[in-house]
Amino acid sequence: MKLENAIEVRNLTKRYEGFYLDHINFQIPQGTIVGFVGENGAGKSTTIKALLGLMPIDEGEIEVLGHKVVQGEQEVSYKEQVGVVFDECNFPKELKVRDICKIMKEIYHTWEEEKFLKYLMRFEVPLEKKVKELSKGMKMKLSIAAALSHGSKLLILDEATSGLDPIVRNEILDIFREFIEDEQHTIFFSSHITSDIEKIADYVMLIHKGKLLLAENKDELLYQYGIVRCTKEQAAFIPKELIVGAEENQFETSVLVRDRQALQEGIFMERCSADRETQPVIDKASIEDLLLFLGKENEKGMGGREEL
Amino acid sequence: MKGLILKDLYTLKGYGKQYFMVFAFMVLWAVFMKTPGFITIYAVMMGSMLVVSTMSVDENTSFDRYVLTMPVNTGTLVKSKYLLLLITTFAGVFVSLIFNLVITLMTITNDRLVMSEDEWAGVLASVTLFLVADAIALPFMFKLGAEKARYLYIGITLAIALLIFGLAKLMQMAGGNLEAIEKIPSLIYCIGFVMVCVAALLVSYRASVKAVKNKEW
Repeated sequence: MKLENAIEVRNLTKRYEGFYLDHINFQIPQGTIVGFVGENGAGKSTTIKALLGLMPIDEGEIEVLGHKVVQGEQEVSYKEQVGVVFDECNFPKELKVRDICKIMKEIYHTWEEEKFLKYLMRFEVPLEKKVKELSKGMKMKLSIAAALSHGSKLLILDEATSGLDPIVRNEILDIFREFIEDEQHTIFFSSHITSDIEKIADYVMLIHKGKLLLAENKDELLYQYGIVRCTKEQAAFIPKELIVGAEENQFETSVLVRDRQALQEGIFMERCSADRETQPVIDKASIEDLLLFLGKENEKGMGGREEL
Repeated sequence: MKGLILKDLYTLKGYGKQYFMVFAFMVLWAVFMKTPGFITIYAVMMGSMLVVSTMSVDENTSFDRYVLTMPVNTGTLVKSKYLLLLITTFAGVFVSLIFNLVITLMTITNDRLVMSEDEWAGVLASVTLFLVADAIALPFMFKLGAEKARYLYIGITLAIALLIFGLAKLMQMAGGNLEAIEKIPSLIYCIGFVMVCVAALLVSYRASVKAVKNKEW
């Protein structure tokens, strides 16, 4: 059976005291890397827990690899093809790496011992060491090796690169790139390190205070959106329909616009040059800029977009 | 299931030295105090408590949440802990039998090497006490977490022991004939203990499955 979407989420809603995951909708096409960005407490882990059937949800439907996810269900064989890595190593610290291989062999029918050992060798994780004796980077590499060694088609990573140094993070991102070379493979990973997402994601989803603000192709997003740095007077010339959000300080005004190209080609630059000596600067917006501006605007009640 | 049991056994092996040291200390204490019978009970108690330790480890490392992202359902997770409870409790019984044998050989106070029916009944009584305590505590551990429910487990064990002691005292005070109870054949006791254990564990298992049904991991 050919699947088009590795993950489908419809109207996912979860209410906690002081937090509300608000009717989240998205689809993750097979063969893509999707970065899920948001500040701490935005709802990333709650969404991932719901995807994994680790909590009851109030409303909505979730499908993972074509399987409708129901919390506490008996039929879990589809999880043979789902590799999961959380923000910390979840193996008991007294276990030896070698023991983990034996344990996983009994849990997964699809366990590939040779592949696991190859990853460990590549990551230089010693087989005879106990989990507690490994560094944080090694522990994460061990978790990733385990997630990749049972024929996974979908990798779900919750802040898996957080707390790691840039060298280890880069190594891990390389592994993800290799994994995605197979077009049936998909990666959904949450992070608040936006640079990692900029490096490898095909699509970006932004979540803020339980609301999905945006879900778009990363390249288009970074190509289209722009940050205009100008004076308050110049900012007044920017067409309202292009403005996503603005931020002012005593020296300059920064405006996030949804179409950098349109602004550059429009009359904005002409009006600015006629008016002032200092010219406005239009830069590409980073994912961090998008998160900051969209988050602020959302709080003002202007809302966002939910599409992929 | 086999993978989960294996994980727990490897984890316990990792703490083996600590368990051995504590047990060795208790053996020395029992020998010094001339109360070898204490070790019989202690070995069974230690065995029955190991499941609590593994649940505590799972909770601290969030292994329970992690394992549910694997092809393991909540029913299997719960079942594995009950199976582990039986394995470690009977391992405790085995250790206490070995200890009894060694003491008998060393002291040669008896002219026999096998345990009497009464001694067997004593071991079974302690197995029943601790299994029932576990059976009561496990659903709470699944619901609230092992760390929170650990004290509950100790409380339950003490409460059951006090209840039995209190009932015996009450019977004595009411002029009841305790000798009549002692005259009941050990086999009847043994069958009764086994029935209590089976019933308690079955009820407990169902309660645990219910406790994890809507749990947020």
